[in-house]
Amino acid sequence: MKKNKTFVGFFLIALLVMFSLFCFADDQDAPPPPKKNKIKWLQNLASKADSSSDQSTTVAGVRGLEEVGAAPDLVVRDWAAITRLDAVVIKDDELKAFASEGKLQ
Amino acid sequence: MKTWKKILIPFILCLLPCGLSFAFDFNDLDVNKVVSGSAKLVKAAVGISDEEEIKIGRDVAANLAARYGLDEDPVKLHYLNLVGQVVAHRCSRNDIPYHFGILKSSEINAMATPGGYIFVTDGLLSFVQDESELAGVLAHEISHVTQKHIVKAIRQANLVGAGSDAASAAGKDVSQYGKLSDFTIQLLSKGLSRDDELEADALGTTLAAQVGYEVNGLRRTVERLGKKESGNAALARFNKTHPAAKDRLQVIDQAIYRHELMGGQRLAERFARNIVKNKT
Repeated sequence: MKKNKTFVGFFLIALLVMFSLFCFADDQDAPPPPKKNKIKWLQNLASKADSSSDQSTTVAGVRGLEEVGAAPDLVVRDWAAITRLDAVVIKDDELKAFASEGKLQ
Repeated sequence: MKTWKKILIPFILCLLPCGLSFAFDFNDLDVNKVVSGSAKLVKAAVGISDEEEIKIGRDVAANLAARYGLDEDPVKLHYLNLVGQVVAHRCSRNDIPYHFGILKSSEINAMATPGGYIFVTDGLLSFVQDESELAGVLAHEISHVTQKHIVKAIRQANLVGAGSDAASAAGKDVSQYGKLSDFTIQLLSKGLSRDDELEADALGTTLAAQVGYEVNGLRRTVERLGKKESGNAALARFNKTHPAAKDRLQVIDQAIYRHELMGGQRLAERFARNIVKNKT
């Protein structure tokens, strides 16, 4: 009787260990969760940013009138102005000539 | 009971390696993943990549352009970019693009967004008297970018903590990226830390001198600003966002002494030709 109880106890524990290991193995085989693609996120962000370009026109009338100490307007964007600023490119030859004219290094 | 233990313990010990092999499947170990994981850990120490920093900077620049408007006088803008690029070319972080713009404002001020978008106001262009002074101001702003002062402030505010980066933070929630921009816009309005401003003074003075500009360009500008009355409306924001002139002059003098800076070009005539004659 005592031997039977020992065997049953041993069998149940072994079953439990095997069951938990098989469960873990199933998790390993499961397909990984979809990764959030960083590049795709940046693309979405860029398209979202461009979509806000219209907002600049709504504040053009009050430009430069922001009071010191007042909370800055966080919403407005003038993407067209920044695109024009990005287009200002100084060529290497011109930069060298400018530095040379001013006796700069 | 002893028999029970004698059987069970060896059985579990036999199963243990089997379990470990499930938990750590060494056959599937991807060396590239380990290397990229290490790179990500290194990046986490910095927090924000150059690409992400430039994106935040461009967003903040678009906000400044909307709030103030850009002075797009082609002569002034081209000249500002020439002076800015000649200084940026010699800075310690010249592997990112720099852009220089003019804000339509009579305030005397200049500011740098993360990632290399740098602005001066019309008021500042009227205030500086020669190219070395303008170069000194631009070198100060470029130093904020080279030292990643805003990125540091973002991390200190726990917006991007260790173990995460801007992209992963924003990947969970796109509005998180907006928070980084909002924080930067507010930071530029409130001002960077006193230590960061003084560091930019020291580094800016050294940088402008290394380019070949007269060593006291930034010093003269700060000195004249200090002499202006503190209640001057054009200086209200500047005074709010920068340390007292006497502290700044002390740091600038130390930099000049320590690096034995001397001489250099003031280029007042070239400045007058491009800026003074084109005042709007």
